Amino acid sequence: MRITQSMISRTGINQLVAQRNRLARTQEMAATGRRINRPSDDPIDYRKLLSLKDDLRQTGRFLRTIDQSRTRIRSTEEALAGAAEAIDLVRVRGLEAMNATNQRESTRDAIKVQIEQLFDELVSQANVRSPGGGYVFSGRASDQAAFTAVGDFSSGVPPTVSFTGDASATRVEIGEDVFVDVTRDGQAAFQGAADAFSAVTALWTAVDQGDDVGMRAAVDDLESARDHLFLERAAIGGSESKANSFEDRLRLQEEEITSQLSYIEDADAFEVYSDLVSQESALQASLEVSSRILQPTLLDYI
Amino acid sequence: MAGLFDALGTATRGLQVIQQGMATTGHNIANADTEGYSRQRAVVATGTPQASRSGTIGSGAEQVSVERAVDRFVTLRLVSETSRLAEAESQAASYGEIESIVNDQLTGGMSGELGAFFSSLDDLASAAEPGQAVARSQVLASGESFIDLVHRWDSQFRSLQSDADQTVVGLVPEINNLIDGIAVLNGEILEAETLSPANDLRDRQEQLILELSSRIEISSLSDEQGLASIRLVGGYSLVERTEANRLEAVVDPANPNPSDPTFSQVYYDGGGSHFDITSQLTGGKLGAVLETRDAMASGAIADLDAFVYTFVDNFNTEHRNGFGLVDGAPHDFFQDMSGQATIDGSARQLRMADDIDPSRGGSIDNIAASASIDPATGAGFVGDTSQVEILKDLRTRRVTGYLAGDIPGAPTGSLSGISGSLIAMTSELGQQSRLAQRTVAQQEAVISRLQDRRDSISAVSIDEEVAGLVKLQASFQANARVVRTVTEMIQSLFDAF
Repeated sequence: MRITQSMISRTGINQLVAQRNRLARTQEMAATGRRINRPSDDPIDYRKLLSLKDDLRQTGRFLRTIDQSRTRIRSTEEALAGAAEAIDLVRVRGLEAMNATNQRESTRDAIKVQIEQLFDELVSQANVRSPGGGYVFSGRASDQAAFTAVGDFSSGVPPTVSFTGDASATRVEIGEDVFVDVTRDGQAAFQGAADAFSAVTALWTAVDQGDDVGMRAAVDDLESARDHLFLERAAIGGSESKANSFEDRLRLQEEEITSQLSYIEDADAFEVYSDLVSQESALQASLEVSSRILQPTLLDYI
Repeated sequence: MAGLFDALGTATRGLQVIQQGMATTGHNIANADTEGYSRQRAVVATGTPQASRSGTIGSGAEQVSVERAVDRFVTLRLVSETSRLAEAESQAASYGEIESIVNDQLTGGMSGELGAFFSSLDDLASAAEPGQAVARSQVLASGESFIDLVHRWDSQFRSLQSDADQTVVGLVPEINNLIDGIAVLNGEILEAETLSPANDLRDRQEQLILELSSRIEISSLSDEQGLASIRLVGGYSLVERTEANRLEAVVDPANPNPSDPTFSQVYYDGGGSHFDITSQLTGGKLGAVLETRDAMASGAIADLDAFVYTFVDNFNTEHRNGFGLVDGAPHDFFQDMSGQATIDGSARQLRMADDIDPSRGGSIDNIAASASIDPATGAGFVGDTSQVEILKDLRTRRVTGYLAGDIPGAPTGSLSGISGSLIAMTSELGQQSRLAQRTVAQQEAVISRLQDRRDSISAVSIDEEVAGLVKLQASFQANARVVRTVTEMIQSLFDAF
């Protein structure tokens, strides 16, 4: 083949351009630390990359939901515990009232006052609000108080308490199609087994009238209401442990996705730098070769 | 019988041939770097011999013609491959631009915005405060930010499209100038070649043909007189002898461009006829730019429209199933677009529904978070977000997607998730961009090989020319010596008398 100067110079220039292109690509990888900087760098892996990032975002969202739901679960749990404690204290007062030594009028009055205070405590626990301001036991109608007490002990007739919320529990999604309850159905919790409020007021009436049989029945009711609240508390505790175990699983998943992402997306630093060095020296070599080969003609020797 | 003067004549003609050879060599060296120049060679033949009784005496040498070294096959291949390279380069550039618009790696990108929107729905779903006022305004804000990005994509695709249209309008006169130039050169060649091959004119014409082929795919033939005859791929003649048939970029209200009536169509103007050949033009820069305008960018716009409409339609359907805090009536989240003839333009028209958008008198309280009506208020429950769970499932739930040009209510696409179809859309563009880049690399290799072949035959080698110079110098000296010797011989004859 007849080789001419123009062929040599074009080959040289094409090669230099190609080398500079490769170098620019490697430089980009080194600068961003990523192997894939645009869809065309690797369309197949780019697709995987986007799905993984999508999954990662989704996992992050679930983790955030779990974090938020924990606060709501805690306030539900504390309210149930507080209510159970108040009921238990009322029950103890009931037992004291039944004691023969406590049959004196003044003692009974003191017990009545204590029961009234505990009743208020119970109502306020049942109407507790979450940090966000919603009534925990009102279900979907979280802007309305769960229970409304009508009447006053001072009138001689104890107040009656009715459920004014919505009888449902609130649930949130903490994983793909995995839900946990962050509240309990207020009606079922406080008025499900035995009506906690009317058990307290029944005790008050019985103490007021010195009705021993009535006190006995009320104490039994209080006991079953308290036990029911314990069960409810256990149930919401179950939600929390479900959320916790799911959180662990999501964290594992997050780690796994992150490492997969890094495997697909990240440039291998050692590889990139060694490529950079070898491409650089290749470029220098061809620059040198080109400058030598492009110059001489026969003219230099005649 | 040949005399001394004949010998003098032979030597003088030899000197002339050598001088002409020097001129050709000089021309070659001068044009060593001229684009498209083919090296020339003086063709020298033995002069007409004179018969005499003592035998035929030669009359030296004479220059018959000057030839140029070309390979017609290589030239033809260069013409067709050049238009392929130009097309591939222009396509790769367009895909590169589209790709940079949809690239999620540099910015958050569309899947980031969509993800942020669904995140805000998640926050709404787990919001603890009644009415979820903060979470609702977050949903509005991230919805608007998603809409902004959709609009940005749409307008960037559209500006790519109108830039392509501008390029079409600019390319047509360039093409016409080249066509004219080739036709004019046909005339000049015809005139010049009554005497001898018009080497330099032909080089110039070949260069123009190459330039033309980088703009549009053509076939170049030569007629019986060796004149270039240029046709478009569809057979439309552009140059026939000295006649040039031009193209024209026309905005014709009677024959508008399908994607935008302000875009120009390319008309063929020849043989008394004038008609649209836009769809038949392929190859070269013009072919690629037309494809960018009429297929690639408009395809990307249509894909975006289809994605947006599929999303909006499904989202609104579920949104209408839920209830806001204001009343028990169904509300759209995005402005309803089902009244359109087709889903085209959905991306451009996408906006928040009037009921939601506070700047249009709507309220974020119309966001349907609740799945049921509170009998106490007649509107959705303030503490219920179960409809949001259904809405956010749309991210992955498989729905029947709309395809470009579909009629609202009659989707023809296949079942896929919103998030998945977005990913498929961008990675499909990446795939095409990569393919275009590969084609450029392959085509560059083909062209480089062809240019090597052309150069191997046609390019000037300085080494060769310098060696030729030495040779010419030597024979010039030899011929001059003959003249001197003959002169001396004649002188000695004079001296004898």
